[in-house]
Amino acid sequence: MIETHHVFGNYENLYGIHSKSNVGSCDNASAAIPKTAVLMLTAGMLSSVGPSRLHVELAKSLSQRGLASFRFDLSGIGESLAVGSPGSSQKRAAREVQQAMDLLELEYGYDRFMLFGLCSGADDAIVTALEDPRIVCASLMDGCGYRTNRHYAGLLLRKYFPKLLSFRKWQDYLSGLLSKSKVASSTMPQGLDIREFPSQEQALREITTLIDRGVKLRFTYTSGVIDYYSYEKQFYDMFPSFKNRAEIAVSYHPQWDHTVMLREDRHQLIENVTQWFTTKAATIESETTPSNTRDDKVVCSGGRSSQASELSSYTSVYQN
Amino acid sequence: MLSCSENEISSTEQIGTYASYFERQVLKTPNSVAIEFEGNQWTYADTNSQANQIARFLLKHGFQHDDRVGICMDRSATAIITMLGILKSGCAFVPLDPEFPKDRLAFIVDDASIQLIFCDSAYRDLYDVSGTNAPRFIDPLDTQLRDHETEDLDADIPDTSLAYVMYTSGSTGKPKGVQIEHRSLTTYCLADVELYQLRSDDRTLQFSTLNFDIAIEEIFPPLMVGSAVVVRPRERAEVFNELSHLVESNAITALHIATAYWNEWVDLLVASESSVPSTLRLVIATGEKISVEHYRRWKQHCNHEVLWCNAYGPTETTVTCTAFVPDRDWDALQMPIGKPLLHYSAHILNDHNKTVAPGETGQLFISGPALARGYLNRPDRNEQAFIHVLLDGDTEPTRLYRTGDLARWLPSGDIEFSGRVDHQMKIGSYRIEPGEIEAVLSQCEAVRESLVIGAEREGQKFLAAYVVLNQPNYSAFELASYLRGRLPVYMVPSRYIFLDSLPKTINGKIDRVALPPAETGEIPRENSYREAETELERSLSAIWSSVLNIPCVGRDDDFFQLGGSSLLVTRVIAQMAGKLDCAIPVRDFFANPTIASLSRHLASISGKTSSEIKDQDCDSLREQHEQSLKLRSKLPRIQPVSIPNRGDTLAAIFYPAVHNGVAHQNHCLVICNAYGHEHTRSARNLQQLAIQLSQAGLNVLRFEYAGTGNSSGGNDRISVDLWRSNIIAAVEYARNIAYNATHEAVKKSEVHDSSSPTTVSVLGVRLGASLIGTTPLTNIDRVILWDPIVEGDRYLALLKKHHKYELSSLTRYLNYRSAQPEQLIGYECPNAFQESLASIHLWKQTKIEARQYWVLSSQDYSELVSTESLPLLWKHQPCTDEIYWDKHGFTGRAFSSPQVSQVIQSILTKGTR
Repeated sequence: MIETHHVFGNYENLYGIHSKSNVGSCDNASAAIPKTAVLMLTAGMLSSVGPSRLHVELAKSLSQRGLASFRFDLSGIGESLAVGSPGSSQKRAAREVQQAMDLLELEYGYDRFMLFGLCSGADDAIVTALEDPRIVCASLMDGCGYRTNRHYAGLLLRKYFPKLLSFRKWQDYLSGLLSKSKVASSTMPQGLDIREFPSQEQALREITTLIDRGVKLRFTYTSGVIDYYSYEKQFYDMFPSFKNRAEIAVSYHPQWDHTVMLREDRHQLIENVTQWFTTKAATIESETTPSNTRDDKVVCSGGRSSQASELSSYTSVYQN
Repeated sequence: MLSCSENEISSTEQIGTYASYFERQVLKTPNSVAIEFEGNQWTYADTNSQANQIARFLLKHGFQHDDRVGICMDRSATAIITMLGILKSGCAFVPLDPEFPKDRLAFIVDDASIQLIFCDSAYRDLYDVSGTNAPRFIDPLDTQLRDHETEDLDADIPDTSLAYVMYTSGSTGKPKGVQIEHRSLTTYCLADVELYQLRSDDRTLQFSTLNFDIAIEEIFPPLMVGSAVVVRPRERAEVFNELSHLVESNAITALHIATAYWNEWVDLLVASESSVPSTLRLVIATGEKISVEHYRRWKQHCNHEVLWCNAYGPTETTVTCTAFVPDRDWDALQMPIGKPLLHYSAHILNDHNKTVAPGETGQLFISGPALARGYLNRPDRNEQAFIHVLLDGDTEPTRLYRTGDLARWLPSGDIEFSGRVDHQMKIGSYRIEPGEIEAVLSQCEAVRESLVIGAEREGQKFLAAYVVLNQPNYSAFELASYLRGRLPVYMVPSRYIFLDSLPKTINGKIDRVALPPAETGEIPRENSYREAETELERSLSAIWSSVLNIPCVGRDDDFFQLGGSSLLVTRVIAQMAGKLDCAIPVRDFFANPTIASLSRHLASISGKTSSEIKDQDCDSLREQHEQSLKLRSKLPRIQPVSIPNRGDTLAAIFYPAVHNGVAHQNHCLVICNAYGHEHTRSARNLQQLAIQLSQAGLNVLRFEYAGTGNSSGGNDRISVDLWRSNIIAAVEYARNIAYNATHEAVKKSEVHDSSSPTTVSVLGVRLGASLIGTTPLTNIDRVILWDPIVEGDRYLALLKKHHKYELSSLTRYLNYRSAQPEQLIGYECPNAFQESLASIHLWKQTKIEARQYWVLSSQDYSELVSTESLPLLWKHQPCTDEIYWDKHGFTGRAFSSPQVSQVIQSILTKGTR
C-alpha cells in the first residue's frame, strides 16, 4: 500500500494521509481511475490513526479491496495545528473536510467521497454531507441517538442490572468512594467535551434530505452509547419513517465497545465497513461512464501536480 | 550571655560560629531527621558527616577563611549540606541563581572573586570558562567529595569570618553583594529561635530559592534546634496554589513565605473555601507590606491556633530585624512591622541623625551584631549605608544601618512602616532598585533616556519604564527582550511608555507628577496589543486573565502563547459555562485560541446575532483570515517525513524552529513515544510540547516505531530491538534534517550562524524512555527520560492487569468479555514482543552516552526512580503533574502536563552549546 502524507488546508495547518488503492496501478495506466475515495473523519480528540489504529487498518483493508482512502486530523487535533475559523465546531469540521476533498480532487482526481465517522466523526459526517454534494455515502458509528420508551428498559436490563449483580462493581464503587479525593486529578479534566446532537426533528429532516438526495447511510451502534441507544431496532423506533428506505442500513453490536478495543471486534467492524463501502463504490462507479483515465494525475511515488502544490506544501510517500 | 532579652552583645564579644552551634545540635540529636527531600531523609549525623567532607575538600584544596565559594544549585538536601560544608570550612557561600542571565552571573562571580562553584551539571553552561580567571566547578554529587573524612574539623574559625554573600539589586546598574559574617548569622538564628519558639518537632518547609534571604531563615534556625527542614524542589516554586497540599502532605508545621505568595495563598483558601492546614503552627509572612484585608480573610480561614508574624528585615540585617505578632483581637488600617528581635535595636532618626519623637516620621536605622559587614567592593555605598552615630545618652558611637525606609513609633512600642526615602521597591517580595534597570536600559543603543517606576493597578504591582528613544521604531517587545537577557525576569518592566522627552522640573529633575499614568503603557507583546472591543471579548479577556494570572489579555493574544495549557483550557471552559452561560467543546477552543476568534466563534453559534454577523460578514471574514494568518506565522511549518529503517518506513513529523525573534538553537530534539494506550494518552501533549519547543528556537522530530501509528511494518516483527534500531535511525535523520533546516534558515537570513554541527537531544516517554536509555546512542547532548519503565516485567504485568480490568470491570463492556490472545488494551502484543518487553532492565542495561542525563517523574509515578537507585550521572526531577499510568480507569484518558513541559523546555533551552 502506498501512502502519501500531506500538509494542506487554507493555512497549511491540516495533516492527512492518502492510501492508494492496491488494485490498479501505474502498470495499468489505461485502466479507469476510480473517482470515489473513502474519507475517515477525526474521532473525538483522537488522531488520524484512530482508536487502536482502526483507521490505519481500515485504510489497508480498503486498499486491498480497491478503494483509496484519506485519513486526516481536524485543526487542533492529532498533528493538525490549531488555526481557528468561525462557526460551530461541526461547521468548521465540515469546512475542513471540504478542504481535504478539494485536495484529493485536485491531487488524485476523486470527485465522490464516502465518509467514515466514529463518535463526533459521525456527527461531522452528517453536517458535511448536508453541505457538500460530493458525499455519496457515510458509515456512521455511534452517531446521534434519541431515547425511546423501550430504551429505558434496555438500559436497566443491559447496563445497570449486570452491574448490580457484580461483586467486582460493588468493590470498585466502594474503593472509589474511599479514594475519591486521590483520584480527582488536576491534570486530567474529564467530561468537558460535548457531543452536538441536533434535535430529533432536525435529525429526521437532515437524514431525510440526505437520503432523498441519494446518499447512502449506514448506522452502527455499540454498547459504548448505551446511555442513548440500547436495543437493535431502536433506530427505527426513533425514526419510523425510515423503515422501508433502502438508502439506510442499521446494525447494532452490543458486544462491542465504543472504540472497538479488541482485535476481533475491530476486524469485524473493518470487514463490515469495507464490504459496505466496496459494494456501494462499485454501484456508484458503474453508474458513471469510465471515460476519464486522468493519467496526468496518477501519483506513484511522491510526485505532485503543480496545481496541488497550491494546497499541499509538503508530501511524503510511504510504502506499507 | 545570650539569654539576655536586650541588645547586650558588644561589637567585640565572641558569639560563636553557626557551625559550632550546629555541631552541638548534632551531638544532641544525631539520629533525628535534619533534612527531608523527595521522600529521602538525612539525619543530623548524615548531614554533618557530608558537610564535613565538603569542608575538608575545600581546605585540602587551599581555600581559606573568607574565600567566596559559589553555589549554583537547585533547592535540594545536597544544596543545604553544601552550604553547611562551606560554613564549616570557614569559607563563605555565594548563592548563584541559575535563573539569572549569564551576564549577571558572570558579574557576581567576578565581583566576589569566586574560584570554585558547586554547580549542578545542568548549569555549567551558564558560565564562560574560557578566561584565565575562570572559576573551577565541582558537581555536588562528585564522588571525590566522599573520599574525605566525615569527622568534625578542628578548624579555628573566628566568628567574624564571612558566612555568605547575598547579592541584591543595586541602584548603579549592578547588583551589590551583602557580606554576612558568622556572628551575624548566629545572632540572627538565636533571635529567630527565640521569637518563633522553634521546637525540635517542627518541620519547616524550604520553599524559597536559595538566593533569597528567606532561604536563610528556612534553613539555619531550624537546624539549630534539632528540627527538620523539608525541601521543596525548585521547579515547584511557582505552583503556590498547591501550597496547602504540600503543607498537609508533608505535615509541615512552620512556613516562611514571601508576602506576595501569602496573599495568593489566602485568596486561594477563600476561593476554595478551605481552611489553613491543621498541621501548621507557625506562619511568617515577610518581604512586603501586609494587606490587612488579606490578614482578616486569613483569620476567617484559620480554625486553629497559629503563631502568625509579620516580619521585616533588609538583607543587610541578615534576615528579619523586627516582627509584629498580632494578638487575637488585633485590627487596624495598617499592620505595623513590630518590635526589634533579640539583640537587634531599631532607631528612627531625623535628617540630622537625631531621634524623632514618638509618632513622628523619620528614617529607620537598625543596629546590633547581626548587621552585615558591608557591601563587597563598594566602599562608597558602605559609607552611605553603614554609619556611626552618637545616639542620645551614649558615649560611644553606634554602628547603624540606614534602611532607607520611613517609619514612626506607635504608642504600643511597635514600628509602623511609612514608605521609602528613595525609589527602591518591592514587587513579589523582590527588592528592586529601579536605578539598576535604568542603568541597563541606558546601555541599549536605542534608548536615550529612561525612568523606571513601580506602579499598581487593581491591587497588582508592576514595573513601568518611561523611555525616550534614539531609534523611533524600537518596540516594547524589543526592549523587554533586551532586558530579559541582562536582568532577572522579575526586574523586567511589564509596561513601556514612550515619550519624546522626560518631563523636567525647574531644577532639571524628572517631574514624576507630570508623567503619564503607568497603566497606559504598552505591554511588550510580539505583535501590537489590541484591547478587547465587545462586551463578550471583555468577558473572555477577564476569564483568561484570571486563569492565566496575567493583568490583561488582548484580543489577538494566543492562549497557548500566553502560557495556557490543556488543563487551563478546561478551567476557561468551566468559567465560561458559569459566567457566560455557554458550553463549548474543548476542540472548539483549540481551534479558536485568541480572544477575537473565540468571541467570533461564540457569536456565530449563538442564533440571536446571526443577522448582525451576516451584515458584518465581509469585514469579519477578512479580519478572521488576517488573524489566522498571524497565528499561523507563529506556528512551525510542520513537515511529514519518512525514515527508512530495516525495510520499514517510519512516519515522522519534523517541527523546524520558528524564527520569531527567539535565538535559533541549532539543536534538535527527537521524541520517542510511549507504547499502545500510553502513547494515545500522551500524543496530544507531545504535539503541544513539540510546538512550544519549536517556538523556543529548537527543531523537533517526532516519529512512530515500526508497526505503530502511521508507520509501516507488521505486528509479527515488532520487538524492542527493532524499535531501538528505529531510534538510532531517527536520531541520525534528525541530525541531517535539522542541519538542513538551519542551513535553509540561514539562506533566508532568518538566523545568523549554522557553522556549528547540529546538537541532538532525545526525550522518551514511558517505554520510549526505556528504549532510549538502553540504546547505544552516542554524541547526544541531553537525554530526558519521562516516567521510564524501569523493569520490563513489571510493566508487562501492569498492561495485563489493565487489560483484564477493561474486560471484566463492566465499564467498557456490558458483560464480561473473553478476548483473543496477544493483544493488550487495544494494541497488538505478540508473545515474542512481550518477551522482549519483559527483558528490559533500564538501569542495568543503560547504554546511551550523553552530556546531561535527566529523569522526570510525574507526581503519581510509582516506579522506583529514587536518587539511590539512579546511576550517578542521572539527575532526577520530580514534577507535580498527575497522570496515573498505573491506575485502572485512566487507560483512555488524555492528560496535560504543564510542569513537565516547562521543565523539559527549561532543560533544553538552558545553556545550549
